[in-house]
Amino acid sequence: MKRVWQHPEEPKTGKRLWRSIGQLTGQPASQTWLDREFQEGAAVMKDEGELEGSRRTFLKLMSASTAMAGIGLVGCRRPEVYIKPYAKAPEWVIPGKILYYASAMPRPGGGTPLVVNTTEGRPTHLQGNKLHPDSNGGIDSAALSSVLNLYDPDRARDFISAGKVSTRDTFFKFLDAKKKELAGAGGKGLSILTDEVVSPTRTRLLTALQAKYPQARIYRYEAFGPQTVRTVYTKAFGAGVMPCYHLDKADVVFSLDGDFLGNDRVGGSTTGQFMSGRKAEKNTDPMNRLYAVESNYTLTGGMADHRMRVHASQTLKVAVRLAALIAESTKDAALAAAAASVKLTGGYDGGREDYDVWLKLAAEDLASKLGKSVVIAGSQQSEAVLLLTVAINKALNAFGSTVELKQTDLPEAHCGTLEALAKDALAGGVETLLVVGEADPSLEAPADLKWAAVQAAVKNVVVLSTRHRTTLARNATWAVPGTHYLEQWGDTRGFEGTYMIVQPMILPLFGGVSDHELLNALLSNEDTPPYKEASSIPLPAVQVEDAGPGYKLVRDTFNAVVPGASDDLWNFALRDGFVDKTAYTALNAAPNAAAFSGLATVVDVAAPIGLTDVEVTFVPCHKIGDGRYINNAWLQEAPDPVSKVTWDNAALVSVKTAKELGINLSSVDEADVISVQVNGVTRFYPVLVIPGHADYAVTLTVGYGQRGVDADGPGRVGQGTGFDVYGLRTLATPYFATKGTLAKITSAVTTGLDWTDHKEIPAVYPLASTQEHHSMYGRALVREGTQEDWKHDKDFALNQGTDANLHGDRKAKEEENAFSFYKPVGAKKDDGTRTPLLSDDLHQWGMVIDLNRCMGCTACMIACQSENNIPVVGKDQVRRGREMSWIRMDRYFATDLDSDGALNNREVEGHEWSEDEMDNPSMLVQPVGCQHCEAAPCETVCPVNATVHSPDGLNVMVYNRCIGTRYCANNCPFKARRFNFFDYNKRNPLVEKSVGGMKFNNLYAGPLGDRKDTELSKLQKNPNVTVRMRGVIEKCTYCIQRIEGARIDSRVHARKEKSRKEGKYDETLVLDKKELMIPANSLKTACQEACDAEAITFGNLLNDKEDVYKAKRNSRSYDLLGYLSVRARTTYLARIKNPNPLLLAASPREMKKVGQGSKTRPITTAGGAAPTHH
Amino acid sequence: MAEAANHDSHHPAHADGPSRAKVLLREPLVLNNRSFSWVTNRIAGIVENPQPKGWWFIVVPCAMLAGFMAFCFTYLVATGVGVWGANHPVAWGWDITNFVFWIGIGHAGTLISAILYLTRQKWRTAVNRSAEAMTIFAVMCAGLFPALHVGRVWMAWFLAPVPNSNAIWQNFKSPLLWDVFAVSTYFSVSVVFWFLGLVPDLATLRDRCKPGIRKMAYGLFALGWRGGNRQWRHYEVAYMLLAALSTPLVLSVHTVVSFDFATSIVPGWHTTIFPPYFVAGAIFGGFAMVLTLMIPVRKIYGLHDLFTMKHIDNMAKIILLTGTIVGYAYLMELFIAWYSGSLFEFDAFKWRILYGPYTWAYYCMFFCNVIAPQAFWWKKCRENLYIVMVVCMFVNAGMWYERFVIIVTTLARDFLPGAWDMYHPSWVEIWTFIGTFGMFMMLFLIFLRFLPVIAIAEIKGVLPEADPHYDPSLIKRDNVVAAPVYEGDPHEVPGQPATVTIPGAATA
Repeated sequence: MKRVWQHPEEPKTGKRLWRSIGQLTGQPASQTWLDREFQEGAAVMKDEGELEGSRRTFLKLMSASTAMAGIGLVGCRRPEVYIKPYAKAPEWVIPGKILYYASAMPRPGGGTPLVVNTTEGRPTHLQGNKLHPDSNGGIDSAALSSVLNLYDPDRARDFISAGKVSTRDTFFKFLDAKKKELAGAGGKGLSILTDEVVSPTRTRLLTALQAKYPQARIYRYEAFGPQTVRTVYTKAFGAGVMPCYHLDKADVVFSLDGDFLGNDRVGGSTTGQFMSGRKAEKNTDPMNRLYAVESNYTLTGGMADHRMRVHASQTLKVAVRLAALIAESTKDAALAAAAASVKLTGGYDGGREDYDVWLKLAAEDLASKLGKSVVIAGSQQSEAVLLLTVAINKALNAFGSTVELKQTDLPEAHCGTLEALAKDALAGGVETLLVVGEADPSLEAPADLKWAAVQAAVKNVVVLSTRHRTTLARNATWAVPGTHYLEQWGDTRGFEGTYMIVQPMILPLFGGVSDHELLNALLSNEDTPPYKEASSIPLPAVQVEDAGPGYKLVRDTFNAVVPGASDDLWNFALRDGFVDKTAYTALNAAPNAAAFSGLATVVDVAAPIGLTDVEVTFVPCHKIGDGRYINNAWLQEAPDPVSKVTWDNAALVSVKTAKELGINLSSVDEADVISVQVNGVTRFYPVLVIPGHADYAVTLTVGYGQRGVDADGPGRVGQGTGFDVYGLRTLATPYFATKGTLAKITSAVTTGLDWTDHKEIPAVYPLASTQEHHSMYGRALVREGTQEDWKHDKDFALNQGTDANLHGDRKAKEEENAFSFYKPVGAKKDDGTRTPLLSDDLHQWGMVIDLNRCMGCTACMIACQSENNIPVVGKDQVRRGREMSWIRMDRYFATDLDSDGALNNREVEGHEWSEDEMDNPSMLVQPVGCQHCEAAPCETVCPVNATVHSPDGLNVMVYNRCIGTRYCANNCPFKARRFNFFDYNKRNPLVEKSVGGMKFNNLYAGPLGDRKDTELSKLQKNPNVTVRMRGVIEKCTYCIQRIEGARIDSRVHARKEKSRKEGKYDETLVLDKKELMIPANSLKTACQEACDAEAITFGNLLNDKEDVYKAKRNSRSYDLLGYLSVRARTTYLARIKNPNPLLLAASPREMKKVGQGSKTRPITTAGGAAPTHH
Repeated sequence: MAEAANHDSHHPAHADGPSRAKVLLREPLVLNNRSFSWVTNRIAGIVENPQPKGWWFIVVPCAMLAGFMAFCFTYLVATGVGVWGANHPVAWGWDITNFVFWIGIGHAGTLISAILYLTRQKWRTAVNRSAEAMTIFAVMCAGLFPALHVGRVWMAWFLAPVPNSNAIWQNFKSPLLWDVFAVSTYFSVSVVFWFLGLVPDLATLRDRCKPGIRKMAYGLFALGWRGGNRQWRHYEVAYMLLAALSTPLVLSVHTVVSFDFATSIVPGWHTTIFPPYFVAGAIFGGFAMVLTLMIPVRKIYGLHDLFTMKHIDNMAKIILLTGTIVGYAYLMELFIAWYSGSLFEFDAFKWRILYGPYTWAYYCMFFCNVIAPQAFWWKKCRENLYIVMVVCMFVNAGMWYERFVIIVTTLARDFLPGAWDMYHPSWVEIWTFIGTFGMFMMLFLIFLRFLPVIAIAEIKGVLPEADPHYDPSLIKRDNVVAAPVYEGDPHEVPGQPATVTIPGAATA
């Protein structure tokens, strides 16, 4: 609008003022000029409409330019992907909704009951089956990661005939012809070699085969199987008798150079049973006591209240001495006689007096708890040691209480050993050899058995296995791809005998054949019908029979084995995964006295005395077992629980031995290489120092260094990892060999074949270790006390380290003063606690980790990896400190010196440790993940609000918002945050790229690098968890996908219940808030679910029925780095040792080790530099 | 400027008695009684005459280094932060070290131009232009690191408070966000301040140019400057206001940068001494860098009369002062670590100075920043340009080590020993850092080539003639001494006789 400038009216009186002649003369033009607000020529709006218009125009212009800017950026958009819905939805399948099936993993010794999580028909995650009588729902890392083996692209896929790919039908034609030929000869020349996997159907079929082919012979082999135990128990109690431990009933356990909590599986839930004696809810609760005698540091040794390092070769002497001491205490004549029958010279390990005092008191402790104590020897021990253990356990009244004798139905009688097979084959008695199972003699057989010659002596070798990259399969007449247990029908039994059914979760990915099918084909009189491709079967009409004859075979066994078998029982068994009350019958028998007569002929072994007289021990790897899991990337990347090394094996030696060898004690990453010469063979290994290892002894973990038959070695994952050990192992020295020689090599050595991918052996080899520091530097991170300490001071855990300075009612004070961005809700309650500060008054999540039950086995790490799609980063990245696991398993060695000291004295120089200090440490472990601090330091520093707090107390990470400044990771005191330095999920970290002769890891090739070379591993991914891209931070979420799932379930459930009660189901149904609470203990995180020891408790802190509610109120509870007042939601329960008071009094060293008896009581082993008090 | 010149004490303006000669006179800021036209010719001549041959030999390799830096950054963005050496405990390495290093260097410029202007330190006129240019280039180098060190560079715009459909705002509690604001404000204000000061000089250059692209360009940026009285009046006011605006920024930027560390809970970072200590360190490092650049420039372009030993002496004294403040901070950190009684705090420093893997870096830092500048207590050292250059080089290196020590050694040894790991830089980050030097030098050389390195208009204000009360009769011919002649100096412009009057000598 053109506005008229309002001039004041001309005054009526006074002088008339004028501005121009025009105005004075009243010319209209001058009036216009006066009325103008602006000068002529200035832009003037004509009316309001124009005003509106211009605002609109402005907005139009702005939005147009914004839109144009948007168009300009369109080039950066993400690739389009489409979600394809099911045209015909299969019943039960809801995308993203997990279905749970019960199954089992058949394993040597006894199967593992499982619950398989499947999404859209893909098994993605495994958990234990807690309904099973011999399981608490926990699971070990090998079983957990077996789901990844299913999707291993390097698993056997093809039928291979003499090295060439053939077809399934050709193979079965060969087999049909062969079996006719064999049937005519009564099976003469047929031999079958199987692994030790327990499967009633396999047993049944083998028995039937023997009936059909009476001349056929069956052999069984497993590199680290229960053969010796079986031999000993057969001798002592009769055929098929095996021990079954009940450690939950034991007050005192004595481990004789075994690792029953670690890789020596002697029962289904040994760990769970043992840890049930370590609950320590109150300071008056009784606890079991564990003594361990061992040469290498194991998980069992780490849990022990008293550990003594003794050479493996001296275990026999310890056993004899222990037997004699127990016989003395129990007045058991038979035991005394057995002990006396062994003629040994001198004491064990040079007859150290303090060792003998130790053993004497331990023996008295065992004898004082008759019927409640047990001695467990390692399965790889000699017959004599195991026999003595039987005698000792008899004297301790252990049989029938802590050890149960079980009459198994395992096919003992007709099974020969590998040695017998070799003899028969070389004598020309084997024309056709069928090798069934995962045990691979071409890799694992004792060196002096010379398997290659044995195999060459057999005309037809048929191998059924999932491992086709070894000389066994490659040189075989036929190599048949085996099925993974998740894609076949099968069955197994637990250690105590409960019958379990293995049901297929998916059709065989590569069309493999199960062992049952193969044996059945051999057994059947008819020709094998032609193969029907799974893909040719129209969906959804797949019938159980389509998966092969396996179903019927198992069903038949079920009918035979299970009393009162019926269709209903079968369906129940499928639902539950097992049939209750089918355990082996218990036996109440006394050992056969004649069995002990052999002890008199036992040969004495002298203790090693120097570097040219060392003892070499062969143990299975905690990660890859006997080598069968070498191509499993999760296991390869999980750190060894004790040595913390990944992707390789190493020679483990004690500090003293290392010093004498001239090893650089301070280097973890760049390991010196030593030569190990024993049994006439020399091999080279990088060496790692393990404090607490026996002197002049070296422990070698087997399974690594598989060279395979082509460039890919044992597979893309296992290629080039570690060093072969089996070449040193002979028939006579399956567990340890003596008279070996160790030497450090000073310059590169060229030998050719020993080292995978290393024709030349360097003097220093790069190892990828996940932890460089083995000392807590006096920081009271893992807190530990004895039972006495706890009784003496209920809050001993709070009074350690820096936190001890805050005394009195410090928890309350802390809570008052702590800085938090969240306003407190509600008043203080009677028990002094407050309602957590966040706004959700129904759910507040928290976790408690009981260090008294955690032994550091790393199963939680693998479970987390499997559940949360955590990528594997490869050895190179681990070396650079970029492993992605959301839980870190910190392991510390503690000696009685704690201030500033490091066993790995890379930084602390000039501190001389006495031998005893260095070589007799305790081992303490601590899983550390995101602690979900209420006043989280990470949240305040993120500039883009990518990490925030949820109302229910989770520290949540918003991947979409994260730009990757990594400030949160720096400010996290627990260093629990992980950064995707590369596109680990998209790019393959396990291959090398070569450009112009320069070799570098594929990750460094960026967009030019190879993608992960298979779609297969994607099938394992959990659809409910985001797969993270590069450049974002990730961390533990408390399995938020499970929390949300449970929240939805409880809502649905509550609505259903209410509508049932009120008889209506419409929008008028009002739910009470309380009804929406997730029921107590119904929700478990993946790590918690996997933990066999039940060390992890998780739940709603507002629900007093939750276990975690009680655990938080345990007086052992403390916050890691509590003085920071970050209010961690994950807290720890201090570890309690239960030392033998007499032993403490007798040995000052022991006293120092467990921190007892000192007036100024810092709990020294825990490294807590606590001030004095009281 | 004119007003400032009124107080030039080197001239006995109020000459009303014989005692005048006894006044202790200040050293003149421009030596050898140079005239207005000499100053214009000399400074504009640098831009107008061909550059010395060495110019191309330096600028080309620097440009190549900068280009390689661009390649390194491209590789980083295309591949992932993993191409650097950072890992899980040490999530920041050379990236943030370099950022803080360059930002620190960028402090001297604005300090000289703004604070010294407000405090009427007239000697600043010889150095402020180049120092400001250096500031801008250093901040450009610095800004590259936080912008490109993030994991998802293409999402870095999340740092800007842009309204979006998710209604997510930035986290205003985060010091990193403060950093974004502080550094960008500092950069923009510095650029405006620098440009404003350039306007009269650009007009001078424009006027001296032959018609052509050059003249058009200078004319464009001279914003129609005619040197009118009213223009000068507005200019002076604007300049003063901007100086006042920049002054708090000098203190705030490095304070905010120090908050990145000080507000965290990491032992070794969580320290209240950081803000003053960082600011002092920044001034320290900035002055060292100004000297590092200007001493060669002075030599090569023959600016001895304008950038005098007095300037160098003043700056050396500031380096000595701030270096000692920094040294005090180092020792105070150690004392507090012990006195706090916090095990973690004390350990962090024990690892740093006693038995950590990076103790060598600590001692490098301590020597370079605390010990080396002590040489400046001696006038002889301040007068010897070789010594000054060596000390400044030590300070430049030392200030980089200081940031390295703070960032890397702290992160490598924090709370839980189970998580500790070593940090090793990769070739990518080493070359990126070298590349920023290339970029910095390249920009500085281009600056020398096209813009007056000393503020022509301003420095005229400190000449005696600028004083309205200046009495030309005071020149006594018998006290004329010959000015030194710079042999082989192609820039020596024949013109005004190089004579000087020493008033004190006149009546002695």
